[in-house]
Amino acid sequence: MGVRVRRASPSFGPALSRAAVALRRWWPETALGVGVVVAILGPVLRRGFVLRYDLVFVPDPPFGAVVWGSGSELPRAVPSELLAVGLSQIVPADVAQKVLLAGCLVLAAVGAARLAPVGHPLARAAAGLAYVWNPWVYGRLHLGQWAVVAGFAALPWAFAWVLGVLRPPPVGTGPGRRSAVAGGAAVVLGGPAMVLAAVFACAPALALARRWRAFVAGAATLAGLTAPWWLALVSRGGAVDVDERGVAAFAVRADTPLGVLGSVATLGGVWSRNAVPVGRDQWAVALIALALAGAALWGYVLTRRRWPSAAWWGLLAGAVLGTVVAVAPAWSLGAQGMVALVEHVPLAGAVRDGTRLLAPLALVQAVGLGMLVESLVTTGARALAPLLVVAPVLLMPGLAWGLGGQFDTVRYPAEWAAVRAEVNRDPAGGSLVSLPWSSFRAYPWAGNVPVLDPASRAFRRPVVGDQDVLVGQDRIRGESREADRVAAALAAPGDPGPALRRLGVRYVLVQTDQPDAVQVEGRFVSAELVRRDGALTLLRLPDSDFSGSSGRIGIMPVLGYSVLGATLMIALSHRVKRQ
Amino acid sequence: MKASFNPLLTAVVAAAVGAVLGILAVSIGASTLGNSNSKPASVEQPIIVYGER
Repeated sequence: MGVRVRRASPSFGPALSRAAVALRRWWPETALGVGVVVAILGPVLRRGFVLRYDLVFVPDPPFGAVVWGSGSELPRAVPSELLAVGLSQIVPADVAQKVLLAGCLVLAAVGAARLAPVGHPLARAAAGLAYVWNPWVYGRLHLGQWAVVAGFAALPWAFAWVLGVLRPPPVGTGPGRRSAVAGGAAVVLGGPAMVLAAVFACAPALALARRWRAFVAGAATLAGLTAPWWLALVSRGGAVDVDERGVAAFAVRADTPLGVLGSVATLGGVWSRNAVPVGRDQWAVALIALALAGAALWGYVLTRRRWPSAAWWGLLAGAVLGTVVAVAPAWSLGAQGMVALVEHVPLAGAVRDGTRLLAPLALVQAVGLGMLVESLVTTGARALAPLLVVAPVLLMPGLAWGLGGQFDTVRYPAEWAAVRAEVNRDPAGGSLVSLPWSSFRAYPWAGNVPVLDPASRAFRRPVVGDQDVLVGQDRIRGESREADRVAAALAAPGDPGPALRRLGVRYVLVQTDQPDAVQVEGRFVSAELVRRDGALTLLRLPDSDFSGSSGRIGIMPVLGYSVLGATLMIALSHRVKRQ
Repeated sequence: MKASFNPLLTAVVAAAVGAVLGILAVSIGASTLGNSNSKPASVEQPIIVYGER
C-alpha cells in the first residue's frame, strides 16, 4: 500500500467558463450557424459522399498533383485541396467533406452577423441569414464549388480586419483582430476570383482612409497566402492559354424577368440555367426580391453613421466594382473588352465567371438588411422585423434541405478501392489516363448528376484527363498541354497505346459505366489487362517511357506552402500597438 | 488602438512578393515567346455537359 498521490488534472474550468460567456454573448450567431447547416445540409449530414459538378471528394485521398498544383493544368484546387486532403487524413473523407461544407456556411453566417454594426439579436440574425440565404450561395452550392463558398464566407472577416484597422470595435462587438485575420485568410481557398473580390471589398476602404501601411501589409499577406498558387503557376511554366470562348460561356445571364441588372441586383445571374433557384423566373418573386435588395441598400445607407466613413464608402465602392466586372460581359463592348483582357493579360481568365465578384454586394446587402431590422425594432415596427429576417428564406425556399432534395450521399463502388490499391501499389512511375475522354462523369450510382472525374484525385501518380468543359453545345478548351497531347494521341486512328506510352503513360483506366466506354476499351489491343471489376477496367501499357511524368512534387509547392504557413503565423502573431 | 507594422518585415515581404512576380513575369513571357499554340485535337467524346446557359 503506497502513498496515495493526487495527480494533477488539467483544469477545464476557465475554458468552460469562457465558452459559456461566448455562448451567452454570441447565441444568435451560434443558433444561426447551427440552423443554416441543418436547414441546408440536413439530408446529407450522414456518411457518404456528395458528388456533383465541381464537388468531388474521394475516399483516402492522396497528396497528389491536384493538391500541389504540379500537374500541367491550371492549379485551380490550390490551396483548397490541401485542406480537404489534410482533413481527410484525420477523419474519413466523406466526413471531412461535410465538415468543410458546414464550416463554410457557419463562417459566412457568423461573419456577416458579427460584422453588421447592430446589437439586437434579430438584426444580427438577419444579416447572417441574408448573407447565406441568397441566389449567389445557391448557385455555387449547386455547382459544388465549396472552395468558392469558403472564399465568400471569409469576406466579412476580411472586412472586419479593415474595420479594426480604421476603428477598433468596442469590446463585445465585432470580431477581434485575430479572429478577423484567421477568418479572412480563408479567402485564398476561393482562388483568384475570390481574392480579387476581397481586394475589391477591402482595398478601397484602406485607400480612402490613407492607411497605406495597412494597405501594404494586407497586400503582402494576400501575396503570401496565395504563394502556393503563384508558385505552382510558375513551376507549371508556359503561357496560360485560356479559351476566350469561356468569356461568353460563363458570362452573367438574366435569371429573372428583370434582365441582367435586376438579376445581379438580387445576387443572381449565374451562368448556368440549372444553378438558378426555382421561382426566380416568376415576376412576383423577382419583384419582391428586387424590393428586398432595395430595402437592404437603404439599410446600408442607415449604417453610414455607425462605420468610419472610409469603411462605408470603401465597401460600397468594392460592391460597385465587383458588380461592374460581373455585368460587363452582358453587353458587346464589355464582352469584347473581357475577351481582349483574357487574350492578352495572363491570369485575367480567372474572372471570366464574373458573378463570383458579386460577393461584396452580397455583404453590403446583408449588413443593410441587419441594419434595417434593427431600425424596425427600435422604431416600434417590431412586428415587421421577424418577417424581414426570414424574407430571404421565404423568397428562396429551394435552398433548404439540400437544395430542395438535390443533394444526396453516395458511396463509391468497391472496384474503385481495388483499382486504387492496385495502381498505388506499383512503384514504377508513369501517369494514368482516365477514359472515356471527358472531364465530367455521370454515374448511375450517383444519380447521373454531372461530376468532375474523381480519378484525378484518387491516385498518387499524375492523372491525365480531359480538361475541356461543355457549356451547352460549346466546348470550352482546357489549359493543359499534356491533356492536349493525350487527346491528339487518342484522336489518331488505331491503337493509341504506343503513342500514349511515348507520352509517359503507364496505366489506362476505362470507366465502363460511361458513354462510349466499350469502343474506347476495344482500341487498346496491345495493352495488358490488369483487372476488370464492375464499372472499371484497368489496362497497363508495357515498356512505358516515364521521363515525361515522374510524379515528383518538386520544390515549388513545398516553397509555396511554406510561404503560406509563415505568412499565416506572422499575420496571426503580429501584435497591435495600443495607443 | 492603431495597427502598427514592422517596416523591416514589410520590406522583406514586399521584396519576396516582387521576386515572385518577377519570376512569374519572366516565366510567362519567355514561354509565351516559345509557345507553339497547337491545334486542339478532335477526339470522340461523350456528351456530359457542365451546364447550359
